[in-house]
Amino acid sequence: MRYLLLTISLFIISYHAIAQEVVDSLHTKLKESEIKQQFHFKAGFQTDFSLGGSYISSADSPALGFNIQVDWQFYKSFQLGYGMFNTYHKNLDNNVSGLVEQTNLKGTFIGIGYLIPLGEVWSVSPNIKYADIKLNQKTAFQNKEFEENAAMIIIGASINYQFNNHISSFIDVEFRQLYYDIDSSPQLQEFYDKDHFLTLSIGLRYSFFYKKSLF
Amino acid sequence: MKKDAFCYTLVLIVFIITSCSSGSSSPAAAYSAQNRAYVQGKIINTSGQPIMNEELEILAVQNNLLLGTSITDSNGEFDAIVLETGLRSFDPFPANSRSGDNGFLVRLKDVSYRHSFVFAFVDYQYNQDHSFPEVVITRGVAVTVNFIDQNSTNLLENVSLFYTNSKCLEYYRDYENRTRSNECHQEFGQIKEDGINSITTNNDVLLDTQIRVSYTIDSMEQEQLFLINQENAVFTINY
Repeated sequence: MRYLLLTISLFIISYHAIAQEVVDSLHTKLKESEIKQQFHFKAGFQTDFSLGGSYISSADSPALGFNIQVDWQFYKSFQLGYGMFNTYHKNLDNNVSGLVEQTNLKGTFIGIGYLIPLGEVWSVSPNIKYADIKLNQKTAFQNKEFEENAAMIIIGASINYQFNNHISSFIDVEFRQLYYDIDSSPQLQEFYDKDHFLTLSIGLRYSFFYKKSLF
Repeated sequence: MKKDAFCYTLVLIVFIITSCSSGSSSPAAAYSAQNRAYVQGKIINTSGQPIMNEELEILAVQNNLLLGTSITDSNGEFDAIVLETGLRSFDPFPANSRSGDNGFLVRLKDVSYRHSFVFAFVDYQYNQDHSFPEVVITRGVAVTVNFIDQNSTNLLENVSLFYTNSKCLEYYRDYENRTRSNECHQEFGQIKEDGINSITTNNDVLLDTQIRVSYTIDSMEQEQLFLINQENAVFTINY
């Protein structure tokens, strides 16, 4: 939670400090019509809010983590994304999780999005992603660990605010559905089938522009 | 050109980070998991009373890895979520293991119950519910035998104490009780001492069984039997 507050504070401070520079927007500094490709490097903090009572979402508090991502705006406003995230879910309900006390959820994802400008400095980018998930589980028994697999579908939108030509901030709002690769007794299947989260991410993005066209 | 190089480097960094973080498996892995079993049952004592509010643990037969825990309720009933043992993926089978040594056992955590457990072979069918019928668990107790030399002239030698304990009380395969003496067996513990005036067992003598104490006094062999019907039983042999 501290990381999230820190990031929000930085976001607000940055917003006021750079507000004047925003006047010199991307549109006036670069000839937008000449930009054919863009690369965006994103890094931020994220928190998962559980939307159910399944295995990992039985944790007693929202998970915290971070994410990094590279987006390649390869054709007009279409973006391909590749990246990873890591969130930490602790204090799982042992009536649901058994011996497992905490889970480190590591995901590697690919995705596609579409950038929609909302004026000179704001934009929104709806996207869909697929993530391969490794669940690193820590048990209450001598801190022994083991790893399990899952898959995730992510549907969301990234809201961007452009500070200058290269730096912008983003807030991502995503619905995440996690599909566990765990066989379980019929009695437990409702807990080990799938999980849902609402994920909020906040961070900074660095952009590069290319005048060469891919096609 | 510089920009290009920087951009490609960033992409490469992200790729390396993502590859490293998601591809590694935990070095401390001892479970294979990917499976969860559900176990439920009821535990009663030899008097037919439920054993209430007792912690129990579920262990892998092969390596004693803890797979689950639970607490009995006021009716002696329990349920638990059981992790899959790591035998299949991580631990090689020991040379002396049998093909069926991949189950789990359920036992109470209290040390006085430890010798007595439910022994279940499940043959990797972890994606099933496991329901045990009412299981009787016997408490183990400590027994002390004191020797008192009444005239301080007799020579006490070759003291042996034979008692009954058990390595388990219930044995299940395919969810049926198939207790056989060679797989879930009773044993006779033995303590041998010379020149002592007291002998005490661990908490593993079964209640409602007999102990046999043999000894020689001045080269004369003698033997006595005692019924164990209470905790911390103390007996005295005068000679």
